[in-house]
Amino acid sequence: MAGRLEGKVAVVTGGGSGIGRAAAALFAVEGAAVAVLDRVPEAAEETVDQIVAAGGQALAVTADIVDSDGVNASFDWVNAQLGPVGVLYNNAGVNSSGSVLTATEEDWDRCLAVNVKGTYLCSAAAARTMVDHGGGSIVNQGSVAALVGVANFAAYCASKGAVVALTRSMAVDLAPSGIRVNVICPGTVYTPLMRPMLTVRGGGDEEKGLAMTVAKYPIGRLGTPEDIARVALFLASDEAAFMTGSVVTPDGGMTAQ
Amino acid sequence: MAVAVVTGGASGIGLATADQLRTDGFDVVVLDLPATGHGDVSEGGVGAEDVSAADSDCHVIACDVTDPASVDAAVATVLGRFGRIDVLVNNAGITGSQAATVLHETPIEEWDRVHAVNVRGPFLCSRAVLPTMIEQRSGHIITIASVAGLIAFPGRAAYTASKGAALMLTKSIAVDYARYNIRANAICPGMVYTPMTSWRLDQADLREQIERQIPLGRVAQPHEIADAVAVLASGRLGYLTGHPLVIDGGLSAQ
Repeated sequence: MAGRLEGKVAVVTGGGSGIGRAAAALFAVEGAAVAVLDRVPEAAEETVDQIVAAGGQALAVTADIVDSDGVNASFDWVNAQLGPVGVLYNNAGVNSSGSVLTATEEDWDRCLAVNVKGTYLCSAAAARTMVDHGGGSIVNQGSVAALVGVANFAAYCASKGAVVALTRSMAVDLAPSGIRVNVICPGTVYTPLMRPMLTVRGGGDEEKGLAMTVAKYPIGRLGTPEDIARVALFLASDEAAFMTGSVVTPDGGMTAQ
Repeated sequence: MAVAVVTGGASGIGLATADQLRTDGFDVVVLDLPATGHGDVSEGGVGAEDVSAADSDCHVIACDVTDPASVDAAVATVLGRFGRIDVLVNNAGITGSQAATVLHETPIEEWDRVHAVNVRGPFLCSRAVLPTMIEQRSGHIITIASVAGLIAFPGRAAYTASKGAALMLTKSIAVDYARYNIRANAICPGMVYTPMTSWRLDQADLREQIERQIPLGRVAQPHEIADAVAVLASGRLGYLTGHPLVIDGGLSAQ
């Protein structure tokens, strides 16, 4: 059977770790040529090495997604090396702890810049190519924090809410060009990004924070990077051909309560 | 082999779903009204007998999802033959007659009929399969709700209310049965070309008016919804439960 992304060029931002690494690997298994974009060169290269070792095709790209020149140059490079981008998974994101009373302005700006402006810049760069090549699929990374308030993560909640709204806006604007745009709102996933969050929640004790968090999930466990990567694959592929502007929540039932 | 039960599987989204799940290796049992029965099946779909005649690989049981005795008997037949049920697709649904419009003009019997099929049906079918799924410590209930469960369809009060109820029934099952490794998800299609909607979509002016409101500029085909059911049924999206999966070409994103 042909892979679900056979012949496609996919860019995965934040592809050097966690969900992004799992998605890059899965996309490659499904036949895509994958550009692994990460701020940390070694992280991107490690993902690429794993993909190539498994027989896939991948390219490491280093960029900070808040830098428009860097982003545009990166997408030009990917288009030249692998072919026109048809799939973009805007996975890169940062966390930021603190309520509006305790968060610093610096943290707020950084969180909004990476999660919202970064998504905008990468989407714009990819969409310019997709418009010229008959369309594509953009998958954004939201969070359940966009749907319910998560204690002491004000900037993060706000940034993810903005990503969900941006997704709907892009879906409506880009549909005539054959570009689908959807957003994944994962529940808590055990990733490098999440561990400090669990420590904060547990009052300095990661194990305690983990137990407190699991208790909120009817399914009785946290998500894995692969759980989310499989949803990204579905949205990126033609199996989701009639889906655009959709908010998909792999969250173990957390927001169903 | 995994066993899937698809209600309303003789036409439209249900038929496309049954086909896809069979292709994916499930033993599929279709529950549907007899062809000569009442409801929307007689409005353009084929009935249970037609499916069994057309495709001998397909197991078909005549069943009225609004009737507890009929549902329990059908589920007992499935269990007698296959011994397990891995996936239930609560697909059977109706929009109500053209008399079921805005609320104060909706005939009470139409309200009751729409809720009987769209809400009582998934309740009875889920109720019948859950004890088996609990015993198996696994199972997946997939309910075809509608984007009308999230945004109101103009002039369709009974349908809109029933799909909202079907959606929350799904979430309730997800929360209560997660501990048994049973998941429940809903699919919320926008406008799909099926025997249930063709009377509208076959009128060129009405179709154009509808498609103008959809960012992707077209209605869906049944297989595009069946694809999503198949992905859910495959277990690939294993952390998804209690979720309304919206497949509406961007209609509700506006």
